Amino acid sequence: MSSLSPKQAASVAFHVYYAKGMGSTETLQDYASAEGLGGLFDFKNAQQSAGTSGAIIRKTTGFTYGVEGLGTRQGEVLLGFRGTDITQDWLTDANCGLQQGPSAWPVHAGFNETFKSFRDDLDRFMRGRKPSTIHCVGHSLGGALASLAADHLSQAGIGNVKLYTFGAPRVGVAGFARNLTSKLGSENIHRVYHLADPVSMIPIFPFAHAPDDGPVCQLPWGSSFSFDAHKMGNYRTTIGDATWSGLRRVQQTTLERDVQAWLKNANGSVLMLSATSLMMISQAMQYVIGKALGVVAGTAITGTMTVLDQIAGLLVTGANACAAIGDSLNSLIVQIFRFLGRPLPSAANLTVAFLRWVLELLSTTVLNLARRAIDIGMRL
Amino acid sequence: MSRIAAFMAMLLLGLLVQGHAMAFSKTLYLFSEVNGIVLLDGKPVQGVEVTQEYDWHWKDEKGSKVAVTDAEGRFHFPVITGKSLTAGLPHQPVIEQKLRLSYQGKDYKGWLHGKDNYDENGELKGQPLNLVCDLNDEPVGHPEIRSFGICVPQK
Repeated sequence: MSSLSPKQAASVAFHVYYAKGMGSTETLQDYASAEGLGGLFDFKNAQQSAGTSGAIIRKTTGFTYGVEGLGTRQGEVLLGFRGTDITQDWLTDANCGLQQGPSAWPVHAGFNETFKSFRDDLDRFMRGRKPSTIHCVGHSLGGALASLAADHLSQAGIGNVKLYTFGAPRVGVAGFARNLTSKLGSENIHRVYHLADPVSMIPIFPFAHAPDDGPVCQLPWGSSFSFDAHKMGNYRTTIGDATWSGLRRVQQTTLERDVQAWLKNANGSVLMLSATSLMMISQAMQYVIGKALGVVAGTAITGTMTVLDQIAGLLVTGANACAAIGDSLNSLIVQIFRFLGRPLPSAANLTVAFLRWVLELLSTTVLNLARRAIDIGMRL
Repeated sequence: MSRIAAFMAMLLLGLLVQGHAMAFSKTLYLFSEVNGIVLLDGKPVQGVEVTQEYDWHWKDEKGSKVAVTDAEGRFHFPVITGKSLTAGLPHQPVIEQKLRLSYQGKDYKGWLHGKDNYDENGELKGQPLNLVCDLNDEPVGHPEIRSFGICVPQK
């Protein structure tokens, strides 16, 4: 019933990449021996499953496997989920619309489509099994898929699910994260990420990470943003032989850190603002988002709506439901727009317009950062 | 931004930067140069057929080459590199590497390794890929170098 060690979980997170070609399980077993997982799970008899990824150019490849435990882990089950690897996967990640997830909470559309493409295989694998523990492991996109699987399994009333993710992106809205955390228990969610791993920072609000409360395994990194920080090799190096308690840190108030980090990077490239203006924008953003998080996602969600529209929609709903949000911010937003020298939208559209502007700013910032990180990465 | 526009923006940026970065000529090492020796009872074996295979996940690119050991039991494979316009997009590098040995009608699992980076000699953390393969050994896992098989780094 005990968790996999960080080293074992990290080895699994990489090992599942070998399932991409859906080759022989004998080779999968040999690779497991190479990764130090030989005696833990019965890879010779692994059930590999194909899935589909890619929004426009779809491709079917091996995405996940189910394996039974051996020895002291007899009666346990391991579910591994492959991460971003082939070009088509990247299309899945960029597809940021929202859909109803396994527990009905809104989740990332692209990740959900891939999960749905092998969900039936997952159910078939679990049929008739009563494992004492189910370990769901994944890196990058695989971490998102593992989270959806954990949500799906716990929604079906299957208990004792443990989730291990490395450099995973955010999967669903705050309600999704809250629900998953309460179903699994925060002690059973091992979220590992380098502080500078850009994938762990996307997609931006309204997406949120699970666990929504409690410590996570936030690992240090030299710079602010680095794609090298996303690689499993570097996760393994940082993790070494550490225990989970050794890796856990009390979670920072990410909203404040995120807003400040984004604004800091935007300023000087996209914006030329004084520190005061930035602080005002930061406060306004945090206030608005903070209020919006308390709003139940009763908005009609269509799979084709972008995140930008969703947030605007959520906030319009929020502003309508609690007039206080819109009203108290009006004067602040007017000030900000004046600072920016931008034309003032009508009072009725103030909050939405502000959010739209900030989110376009953040999106541009992400692209600029990505370009710079790629630049640096290519020079190494 | 529609999701299609978002993707195109990312891809264009990736391509632009890749084109820009071509001037820096970052080489992607898929399989570093291999120098190997095959032994049986401590003695070099001539005439062992060694097949080198690789599978580069990002480009879905595969390759295969054959070498035969000489009188000193030695075999050699030149370095294998790759090119990709989109390798700048964040992804986990995975190159499956295999060396299969065949001698007197018997097959041996020489080397199985998942290279998780594009560095030169990135298989052994900077050390050259000089291997010794003993046909009498049982193929086992070597977690300290993340490989499986009878070929191990020369001391």
